[in-house]
Amino acid sequence: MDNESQDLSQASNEGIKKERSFFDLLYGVIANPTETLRHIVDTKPVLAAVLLYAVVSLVSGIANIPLRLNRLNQLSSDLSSLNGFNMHAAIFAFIIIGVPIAVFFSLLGFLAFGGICHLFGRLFKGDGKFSGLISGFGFASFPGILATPLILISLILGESGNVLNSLSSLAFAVWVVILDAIAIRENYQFSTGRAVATLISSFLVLCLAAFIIVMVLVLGVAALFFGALANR
Amino acid sequence: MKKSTIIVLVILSLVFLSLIAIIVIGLSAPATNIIEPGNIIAFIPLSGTIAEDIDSSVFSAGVGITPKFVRHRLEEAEDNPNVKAIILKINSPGGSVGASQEIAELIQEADKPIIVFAGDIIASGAYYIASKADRIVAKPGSLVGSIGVISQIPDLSGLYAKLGIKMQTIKSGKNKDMFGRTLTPEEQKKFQALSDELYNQFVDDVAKGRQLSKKKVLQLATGEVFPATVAKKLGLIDKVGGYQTAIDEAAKLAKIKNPVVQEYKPPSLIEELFDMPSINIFSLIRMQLLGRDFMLLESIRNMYAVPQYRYLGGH
Repeated sequence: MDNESQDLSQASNEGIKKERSFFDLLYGVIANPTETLRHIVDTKPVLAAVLLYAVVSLVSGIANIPLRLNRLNQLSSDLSSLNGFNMHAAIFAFIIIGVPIAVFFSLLGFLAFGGICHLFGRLFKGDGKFSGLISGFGFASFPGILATPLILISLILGESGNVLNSLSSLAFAVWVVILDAIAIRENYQFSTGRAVATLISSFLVLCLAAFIIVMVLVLGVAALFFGALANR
Repeated sequence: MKKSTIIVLVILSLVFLSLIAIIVIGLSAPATNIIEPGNIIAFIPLSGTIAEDIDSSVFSAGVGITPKFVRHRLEEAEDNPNVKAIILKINSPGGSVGASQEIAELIQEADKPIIVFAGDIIASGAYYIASKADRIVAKPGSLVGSIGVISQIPDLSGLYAKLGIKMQTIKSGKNKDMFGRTLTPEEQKKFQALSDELYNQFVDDVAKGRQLSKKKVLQLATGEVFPATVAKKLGLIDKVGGYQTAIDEAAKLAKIKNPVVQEYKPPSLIEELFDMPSINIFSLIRMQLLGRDFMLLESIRNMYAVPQYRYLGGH
């Protein structure tokens, strides 16, 4: 291909990139994920991706409230023994405070996981940018929102819906993980094997970091406790 | 409008509608279940010896019934408007007089109906507190009764003589050292009078609580225990039956249908560890430092020179 036709092809590709609307990208993530995620990591719509991830987290958070409330219901005997306990207020507080906090920490985890993935992507000799990865991850999370109608069906089915809910949650989680792997592969332009290795390594490091944080907290509390005991 | 946009908008609309439906269904259903049960029966298990404080030594597991524990549980149940009746499942051979009387008073003064459900045994002090309940339900094989008082003071003079230890006593007050040596006949009489007084209190309170004549209670107050089937005939309990019988009795007294039993859950090991650090860890450390024999001696020393009258039986 000569220089002129290369320029034309590049210009044409850029034209295609510019033509794609937000809805096109959402549709593409579901219908044609590889090509769409390649386009996303190239164009890097970071703000749209982060906002999309926040919305998906918010919708998932709200959709899972009944499950949390069922757990609260199991604790209702304990809660009802508290003098002046107001269940309406508790639910209100749960929604008003709990969901935004969950979204905030979800975003924090999203960025942290992206950062770790980026380090491993570079470690595995990938050539891509953090902004591209975050954009890819943000749009890759979109299918998670599709679990909402299934959560509704599970809720209507009651006890027997728990199996459906578990299976659908697993299926959507796998779907999103596969899209994440594609996003990594397209961002760093390496093999699928390296993309999967990047994903798994990052996940293990994140788990390890979470474990260390929890252990530090537990040991800190234990040290305070035994210190107080020794000073008796 | 493009096909992709239409599909995405349809998906998002479906998600949005599902979300609204989830919020409506999810928030309405459990809330009604939780807020207004109004038919709760509090179930409080009480097990072990009755005492002012739980023995924290390594020779006991720290299990027991204290007035403080019972007061807290009863206050929780009384303060909860959804609780309509209280079942105390007691499995105890009794214990100290003062603690038994304090718990009995708490039960007597409770506003909500209290049903005592006997475990393997409700003897002596445990029966004392049970007698103040609105109903006593016991399983056919539960042992009930042991109305009486016991006091045992260790006489360590023989041990001291064997070890070559001679006690030197300086006292102001004629009987001040009587708990630390062999009792004289006169002192034994005094102790017997004390025991009789506590026995009379026991008999009087059981007679009042169970609405029996003092004469009848005196006939039964020999310190012996009866199986529940016999105790029912003697008027010491109201019903022979199990868990469901106790719940049915509680529901009947509280006038509630479809009762929900709310059982008190003891704190977890971690909570207990942080809540009562002096109980197990401290004792274990002391045992490690001082040795088992020293701890045993300390236990004996705690008993020595202290008058201990007990509503204790069933051994």
